[in-house]
Amino acid sequence: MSISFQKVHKRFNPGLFQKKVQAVYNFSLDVHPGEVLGIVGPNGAGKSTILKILLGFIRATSGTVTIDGRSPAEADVRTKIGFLPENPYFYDYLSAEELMRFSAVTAGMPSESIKPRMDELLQTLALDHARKRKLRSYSKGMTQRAGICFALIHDPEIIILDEPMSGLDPIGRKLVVDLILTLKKQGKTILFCSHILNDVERLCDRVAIMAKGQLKTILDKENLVSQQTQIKVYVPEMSADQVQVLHTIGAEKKQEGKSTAIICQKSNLPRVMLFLSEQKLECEHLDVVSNVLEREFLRWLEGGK
Amino acid sequence: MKSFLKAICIGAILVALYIPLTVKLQEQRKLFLDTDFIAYTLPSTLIAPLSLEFKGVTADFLLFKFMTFIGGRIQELPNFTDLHWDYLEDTLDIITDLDPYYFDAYQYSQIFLAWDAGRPESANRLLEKAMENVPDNYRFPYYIGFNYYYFIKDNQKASEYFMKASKLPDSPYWLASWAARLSVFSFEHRAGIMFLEDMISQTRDERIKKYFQKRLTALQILSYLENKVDAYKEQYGKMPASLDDLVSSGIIKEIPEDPYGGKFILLSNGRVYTTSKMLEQQ
Amino acid sequence: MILVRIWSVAVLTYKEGIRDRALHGIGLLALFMLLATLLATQLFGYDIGKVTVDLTLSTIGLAGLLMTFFININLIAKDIDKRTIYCVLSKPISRSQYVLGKYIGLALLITVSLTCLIAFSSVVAYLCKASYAEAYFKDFSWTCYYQACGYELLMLLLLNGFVLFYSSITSSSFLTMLFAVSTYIVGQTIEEIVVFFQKEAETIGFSSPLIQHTVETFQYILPNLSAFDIKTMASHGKLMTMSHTVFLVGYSVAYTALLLYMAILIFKRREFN
Repeated sequence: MSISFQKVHKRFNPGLFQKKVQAVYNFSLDVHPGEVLGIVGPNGAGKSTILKILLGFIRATSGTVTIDGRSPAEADVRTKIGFLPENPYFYDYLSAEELMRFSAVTAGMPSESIKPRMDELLQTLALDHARKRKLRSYSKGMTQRAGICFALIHDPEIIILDEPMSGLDPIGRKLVVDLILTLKKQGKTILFCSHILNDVERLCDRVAIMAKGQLKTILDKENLVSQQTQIKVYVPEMSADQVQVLHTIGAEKKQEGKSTAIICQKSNLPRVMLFLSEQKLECEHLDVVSNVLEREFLRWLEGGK
Repeated sequence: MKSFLKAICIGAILVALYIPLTVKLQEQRKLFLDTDFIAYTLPSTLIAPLSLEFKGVTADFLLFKFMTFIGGRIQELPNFTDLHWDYLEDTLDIITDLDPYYFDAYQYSQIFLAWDAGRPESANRLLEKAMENVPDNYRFPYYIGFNYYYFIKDNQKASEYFMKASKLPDSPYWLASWAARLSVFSFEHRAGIMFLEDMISQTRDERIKKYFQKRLTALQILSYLENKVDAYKEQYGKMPASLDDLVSSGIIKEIPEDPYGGKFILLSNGRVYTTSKMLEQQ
Repeated sequence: MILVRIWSVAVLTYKEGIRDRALHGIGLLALFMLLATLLATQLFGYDIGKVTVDLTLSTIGLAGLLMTFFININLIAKDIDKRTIYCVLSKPISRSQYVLGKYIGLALLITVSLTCLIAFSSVVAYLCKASYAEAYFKDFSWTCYYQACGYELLMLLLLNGFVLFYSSITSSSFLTMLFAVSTYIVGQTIEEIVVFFQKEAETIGFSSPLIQHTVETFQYILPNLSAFDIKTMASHGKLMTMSHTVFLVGYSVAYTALLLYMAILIFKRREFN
């Protein structure tokens, strides 16, 4: 199951006599089968809009969106999709069980397999004790987890999650991360958006960065893990000459309060070490900085301005 | 495009189903409304608090209902039973309780209760309420007096009310003298004619105007014929045996037609009467 | 499968509605008023049967209206307002299935609640009947009573069609309520006005062709809700004719179908953002 966006534009009409708002601009993206793709971007970047177009809640102004080659306007397409909305809000007076049953039945799940699947999911997400309680009595984190149960009950091929980590405590977050990793192993196609870059970095095969309705870049695993990891080498102090030499080998000095650090790429580390021994500088300690995504993210945002 | 055509087709089928059913239902409703009459009024002690701050509008609405009721059945007025008139009288009563200054409601009670329902006492009761609340309007005592004179035939009372009316602003100059002469006055259609002319000049409702015009015409004919009977008496020194004598003696060319479709008859006391009783003939 | 999906949405709507505390409140109020009927009949001297029927039927009607205006409108509007519609539309449920499912859910809710009230009111009416002499109930007829209940239910089902239709054009629950209440008031008075103009036309003719066309058009566009009100007939033990009933049922079904179809067309075009 693959998803494809081709030159998708979306303009909203906020109301009569008001200026139209361009929410998504020329968005093209292919999500390959079995891949975990994260979309990151600041608030209002158009992440949720993309997901809503994909589910057919709203229509793209122009461009094409296909799921397995079919249009989101066909209701049947959604049989194999599980969706978790942002800040999910469900019917107040229903229980998690009833909600999941609804999800399963409408997806055409055979009734005998509903119950075991429901037990399994509720246990995985630690909701078993509250399965018969009304959803209005749930806390935010519980509602979020119930929403994930709702999205996954019918064992969908494509899983679309809008901010799956929001409102979860650390334990809940771990549950969900583990669950997504399990789903990834099962070969599901997962598309989600999030603010929490750390999770995205851990889970995703590829990350799409969006800002102001545009797709800025797509980073794949290699970009994320190896290439641009930085190393900080803390030294007592350096003279101006030494800093000059440092520049010639492609590293930089950075003053962090009282301590002085040399920042270099991972690949440049041997040369820096050589420099240290040549200059008789003592290495106090090392630090690995791997917030690539964050840096990329900020770089694209600033670049966008 | 295909889905658009589909939508049009389904829509057309549904409309095609809906229209004949609506027509059929309308037929059924007509049957029902024509045969069954049940109408209730709530006492004004209940309606007034229920209508909160909307008493004026409630009164308007009730008067509107009154008019649709009457307007819808103006042909059938002679067939109205006590049930109908009770309902209408109650409605007017409630309206004037809700809004005691409502001129239209009082006017209608004079028009319909006194003239059509043959309930001048009921009309007078409502008009007394009007006099109490709108003491400056000469019309209300004038109407009451008229009802006493024309319908109840109590000249004493009539003169009393005409006197009251003549003292109020804008009252016509002849009211006072009329009031004084009432004791020697016998029953005259002229009073009715003057009254109707006044009523016609008052209303802007075309239906009521038309309705009164017809009655006015009938009264004018009656008055005209009675005058001619008097002329015959003067000329020949005796009463004509029938209205046909007026024609044969050449005093009138022909007996006019009753707009209500009745026949004019000369009574032995010299008065003329119509078999239609000035009611719509079925 | 289509039916399963529609039914699932209906059940979801029904369950959400039937557990609503506001509904329980309305139900309690109605039960209270029905019980009060037992006392209120003591105040009347002659036609106690009529008063009993008037009071119980009006209570049922009032409860049905309150349910429609406050519960059912909320059930639809909240779906869009609070985005609960996402969890329905993220399933393989088309917009038309959603509208039909919602309507069936509302209809189910109204029918079940009203049936409960009718059952209870029957007990009250029976108790009234048993506690007074037969002469005070000479016009009373159970057939007429249930016919009036059926008519009332039919009217509410049509009104709920309007609720869905209005929900499709506006996302504000307040506007939906405003429109629905106006429709109800207009629907209850339109017949009288049309009859008035028709009779006037018979006597003096239409004052202008514009009025004539307007009146004729309104007659087809606006629902004739007063046709569903036979409470006074029932209280006097008068049964409506078979043909009247048949055409009324046909009329309301056709009208509701049209409303739902328009709601579907509009919902299909709508974006849920």
